[in-house]
Amino acid sequence: MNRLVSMLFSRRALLAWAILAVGLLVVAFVWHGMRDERERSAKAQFELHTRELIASIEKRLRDHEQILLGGAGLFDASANVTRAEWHTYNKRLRLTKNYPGIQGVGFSVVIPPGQLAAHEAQIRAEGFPDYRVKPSGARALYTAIVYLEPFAGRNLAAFGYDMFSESTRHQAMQLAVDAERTTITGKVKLLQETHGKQQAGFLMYVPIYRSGMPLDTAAARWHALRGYVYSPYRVDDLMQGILGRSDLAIDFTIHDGTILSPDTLMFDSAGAHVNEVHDAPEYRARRLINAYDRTWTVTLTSRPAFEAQFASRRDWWTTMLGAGISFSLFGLTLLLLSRREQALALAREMMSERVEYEERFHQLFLHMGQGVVIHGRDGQVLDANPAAERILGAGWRERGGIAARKTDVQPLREDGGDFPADAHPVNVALRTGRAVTGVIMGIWNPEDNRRHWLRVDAYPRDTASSTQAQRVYAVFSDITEQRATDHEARQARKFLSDVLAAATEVSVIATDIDGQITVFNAGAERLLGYRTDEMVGKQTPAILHLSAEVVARGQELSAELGRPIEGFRIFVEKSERDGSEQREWTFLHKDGHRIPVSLVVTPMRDAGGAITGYLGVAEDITQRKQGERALREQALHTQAILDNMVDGLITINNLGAIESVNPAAERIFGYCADEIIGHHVSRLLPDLDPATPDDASPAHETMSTRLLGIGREVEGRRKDGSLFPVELTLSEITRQGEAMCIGMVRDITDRKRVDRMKSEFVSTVSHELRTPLTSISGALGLIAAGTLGVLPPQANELIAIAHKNSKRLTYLINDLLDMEKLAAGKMHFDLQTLALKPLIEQALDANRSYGAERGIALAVVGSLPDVEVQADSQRLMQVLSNLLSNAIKYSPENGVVEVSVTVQDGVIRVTIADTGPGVPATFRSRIFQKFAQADASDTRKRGGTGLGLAITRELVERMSGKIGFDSEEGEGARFYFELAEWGTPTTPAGGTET
Amino acid sequence: MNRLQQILYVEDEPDIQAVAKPALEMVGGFTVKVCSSGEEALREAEAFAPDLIRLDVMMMDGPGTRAAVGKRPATTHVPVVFMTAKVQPAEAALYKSLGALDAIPKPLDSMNLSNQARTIWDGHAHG
Repeated sequence: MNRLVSMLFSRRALLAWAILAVGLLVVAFVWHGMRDERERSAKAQFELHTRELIASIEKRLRDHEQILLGGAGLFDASANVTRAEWHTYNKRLRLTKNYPGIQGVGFSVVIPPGQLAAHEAQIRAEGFPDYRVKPSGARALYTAIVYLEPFAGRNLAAFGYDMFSESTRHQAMQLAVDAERTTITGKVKLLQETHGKQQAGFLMYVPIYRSGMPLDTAAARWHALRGYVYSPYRVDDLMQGILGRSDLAIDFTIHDGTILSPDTLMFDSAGAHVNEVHDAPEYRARRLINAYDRTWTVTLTSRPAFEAQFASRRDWWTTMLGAGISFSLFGLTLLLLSRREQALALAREMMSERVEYEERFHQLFLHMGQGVVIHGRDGQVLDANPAAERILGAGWRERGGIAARKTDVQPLREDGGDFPADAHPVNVALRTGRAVTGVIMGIWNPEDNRRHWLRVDAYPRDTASSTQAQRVYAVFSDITEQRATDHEARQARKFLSDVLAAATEVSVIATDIDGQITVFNAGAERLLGYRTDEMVGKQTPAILHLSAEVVARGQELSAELGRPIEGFRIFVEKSERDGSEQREWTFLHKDGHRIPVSLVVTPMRDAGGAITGYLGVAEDITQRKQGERALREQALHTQAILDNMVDGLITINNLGAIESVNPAAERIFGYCADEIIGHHVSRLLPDLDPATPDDASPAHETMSTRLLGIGREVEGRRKDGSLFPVELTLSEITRQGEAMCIGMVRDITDRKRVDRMKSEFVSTVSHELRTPLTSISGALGLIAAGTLGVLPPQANELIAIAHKNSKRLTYLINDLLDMEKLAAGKMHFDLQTLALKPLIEQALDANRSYGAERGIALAVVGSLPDVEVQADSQRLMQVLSNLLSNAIKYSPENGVVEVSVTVQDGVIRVTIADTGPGVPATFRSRIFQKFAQADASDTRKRGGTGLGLAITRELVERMSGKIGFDSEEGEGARFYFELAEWGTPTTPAGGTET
Repeated sequence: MNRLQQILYVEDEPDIQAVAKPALEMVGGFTVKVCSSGEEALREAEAFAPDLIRLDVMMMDGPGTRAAVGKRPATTHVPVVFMTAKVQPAEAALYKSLGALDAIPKPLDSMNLSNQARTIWDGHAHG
C-alpha cells in the first residue's frame, strides 16, 4: 500500500497524471455543451406554451364579444325582444357546449326614474309576482337585469339587479356608451356567488340603442340608450373552459391591472394542484393582455413536470462514464508502471534467494544423516556426502559407488536372494527416468565386516534439453538396527495376533490411539459379521455401536466430568481414568441386528506408560439378557396373579413378621401394606400368637406345627379390631435359604352366614315334613299290623313297603334334625352317671330284630364289665344303635356282629365288629362326614341316611369321648368309641368331680 | 307299529319293583318283566322280546346297559325310556343323547305310570 502511495507521487507517475488531466478536460467540455443545448430547447418550449395560452385567452374573449354583439343585433332588429325569444337565441348558441365557462348571457334594461313602478308592474305581470328592482332606493337612472339565460341556478340571484348601483360595473357601462365600444369590468364579486367556492368575476357589456335615433355623440347615445346585452364571468370557470381538462406543463396567474396583489388576483392555475410544492420554478415569463380597455397581467411559471422533461439523465451518465474512463486509463498506466518496477525487484530478490538456497542445500548435503551419492549418465560417481562414505565404508568409491557394479560381494535382496545389477535402483532410475523409492538391499561393509541393510531411493534428474536422465541422486539410510527391532516387533505382533485369532468365542477389537481399528479377531468376525480386512485400518468401533446409545453415554459422561466427551473418547475416557471399564453396550451386526454385549475396554500402554491404543474385549450376553427378561416377566406375571387374586396372601418370615401382603389381604384386613409389614402376623391372625410354652423355637415352627395345612378355620382381626372367620392355608417354603411361611387367607364370613341360613332352612323344612309323615307312618302302621282286618296278600305287601319307607323317611328327618341341632349347639345333653352294661344289652335287644331280617346274629364277646360312665343315656343309646345298625347293614347275610368292651387305664372302649366288606382306603378320611357313604348306591342298597356316623361322632365327642375304627378292606370293620370310666382319677373328663 | 304290550322293567330297588310291576300290570294291562340289573335285563331281553324298555339310569350300570341294548340285534330297535331322580333340562338332554326316548322323573306316580308309558309309546310310534 505504501509502495503504491509513494509510486503515485513519484516522477514515474507523471505520464499517468497527464492522461487523467486530458481525459477529465474533455469530459467537462462535452458536459458543458450538452447543458447549453438543453437550456435553449427548454426556453423555446416555455415560450411556445406562453404564447399559446395568451392567444387562447384573447381569442375566447373575442368570441364572447361576438356572442354579445349577436344579442345586440337581435335587439336592433326587433323593437321588442321577448323573454322567450331571448331564450331561443341563447339556446341556439349552445353556450355550455361551445363556450364552457360562460356564466350567462343577459339583457339589462334602462329605466328612467318615472317609469320604475310601471316597469316592475309589467315584469310582475309576466308571471314573477315577487319581482322588484334591486337594490331599492332613489337613483338618477335605473337599470334592471330582466333577461338572463340560462334562467336558472345561480343566475336567478341577478334577476332585477340594477348594475348601475355598483361602481365597478357602472364605470364599465358608462365607458361602453361614452366610447361606443364593448367594455369589461374590473374584478368584481358576482351576484351569482351564492354558494360554493367564491371565484373572481368580471362582466362584459355591449350597449343597445333604440333604432332610428342619432348616435353621433355621447349625449345622443345616452338619450337613445335602451339597455345592455352583457355576460357575467366567473374567472375560474372561464379558464377551465378555455384550458379544458388538459394538465398544463406551466402554471400562470392573472391579475387585474398591472399591480400584483391578492386584491387584484383573478386567477391562479396552481389552485388546481395545491399539493404540488415548487418554490423555485426554473422558467418564468410575464405578459400583458390589453382587452376592452382593461389590462390583465399574466404571470407564467414552469412546473416540475416541465422541468423534468429537460433535466435529462443522459448528461450525468455521459459525464460519469467519461470520468470513469479517464480514471481507468490513469489506473492502468500506473499499474503497468508499477509492474515493471516489481519485476525488477523480484529478479533481484530471487537472485539472492538462490544463492542462499544453494548454500543451505550444500550444508544439508554435507551434514544429513542419510547418504547421498550422485551418479552420472553412465553410473559413475559425481559426488557423495560424508554420510554416504560412512554407511558404505572405505573404498566404496573404488567398488563402484552405490551402483555397486564392481563389488566383490553381491548385494542381497530383502529375501536373501542376489540383487541383479540391472535391478539396482540407480540403474533403473537411469534407464527409465523415473524415481525408484523404498528399495531394501543388503551390502557388505568391509570396514566392520558385516552386512548392512539399506533403504535406497533413487531420483533421476534430467537436463532441459533431454528427457533421458543425466544424473541420479541415490539417497539411502542404514536400517540394519531398525530392521532388527522391527523383526522382533513383528514376531511379537504375530504371536499376539495368532493368540487373538485363536479366540473365536471372544470378540477382541484393538484400536490405535485415535480409534482406528488395528485388530479385529475371529471372535469379532463371528459375532459381528464383518471381515477383518473390512475393518482393520478402515473403521473405528463407532460403526459397531448403536449410535443413540453412544450419544446418550456421551451426554452422561459429559455431565459427570463437566466437559464435553465426544466421538471415540466416549468409549475410552473412563477406561483411561479407571484403568479399564466394563459396560453393557448394544453392538450392531453387519446385517443390522442388535447384539447385547458386555464390553471391557482397557488402554494399552508402552514401556513408558504412554497410551498406544485400546483393547476392547466383548462378550455376547444375548442369552443372559434373555434369561433376565424371562425372569422379569415371570416375576411380573406372578405379581399380577398375586395382585389380582381374591384370596389374601401373606408372607411371613421365620420370626413371624409379615414380609408382604397382597392387595386382597389389605382389603380383607383393612390395612395398607405399609401399616402392617414388619408386624407380627398375630396382629392379623390372633391364633398365631407366639406366646406358647415352647417359646424358644422360632415362631414359624410353632405355627407350622400348629397350623400348617389346608383350610383351617381361624379368626382374623381387622384394623378396627373386629374379628371375623377366615380360612387359612399355611404352607412353608424356603426362599434363598430362609425358611418362611405363606399364608393364604379367605374371608369366610359370608360363607358362614350362608351355611347358617341353609341349616336353618333344613331344620324348618324337616320340622314341617315330620308332622304329615307321622300321620302317614302311623296310619300305615295300623293297617300293616292288621288292626283293620286282613288284607289280600298283594295289598299287604304294598302296605308293608309303604310303611317301611315312611319309617325310613322319618329316620332321615330325625337324623337331619339331630345333625342340625348338634351343629347349632342346640342339642341338650343330660349327663348322668350311668352303668354301661345295661345300656349295651338294651341296644343289642333293640337291634336284634333288625339283624334277624337278614339272619345276622348279634354277639357279645367276653363279658361286659360293670363300669359306669358320665353320659346322657338316650344319646349313648343312639350311639350304640347307630353303630350296631351300621354293622348289621354292612354284614353279609347270616353274618355275626360282635360287641366287646375293654377297660384300660380308666378308658372304656366299646368295639362293634362286623364281617362286611370293610372301609375302602379312599373313603377312610371322609367316613365321619355328613352324607358320606363309600358308594353312592349304598344309600339305597343299605338304607340309611348317610348321616349316621357323622351324628355318632358328634354325640360321642359331646360326651367327651372319642370315636374311631380299624378296618382292612374285605375283612370287616371294627368301629369303637371310648369314654372315661366314672370314678377313676385318671379319667380324661370329669375326673375331679366327686 | 304294534300296540304296546311287553315292557321290560330294569330297576335295582326291590321296593320300587314291588310297586311298579303291579301298577303297570293291573292298571295298564301290560305284560311286565322286572330285572334287577342291566346284566339280567340283557340276558332276558331276547326271550321276552319287549316293546319298550324302562331303565333306571341311576342304577350302577344304567348308561352301559342302554348302550348294550342298542348293540344287540334283538333289542336294537326297542325304544328305551330312562327313569331318574335327577331331571334337570341339561340332564334330560344328556339322557336323550344317550339314546333315551324320554326321561321320566322319580318319584313314580303309580296310577299314572301306565298312561305315561302309553303316551311315550304313541309319540314314538307316530313320530
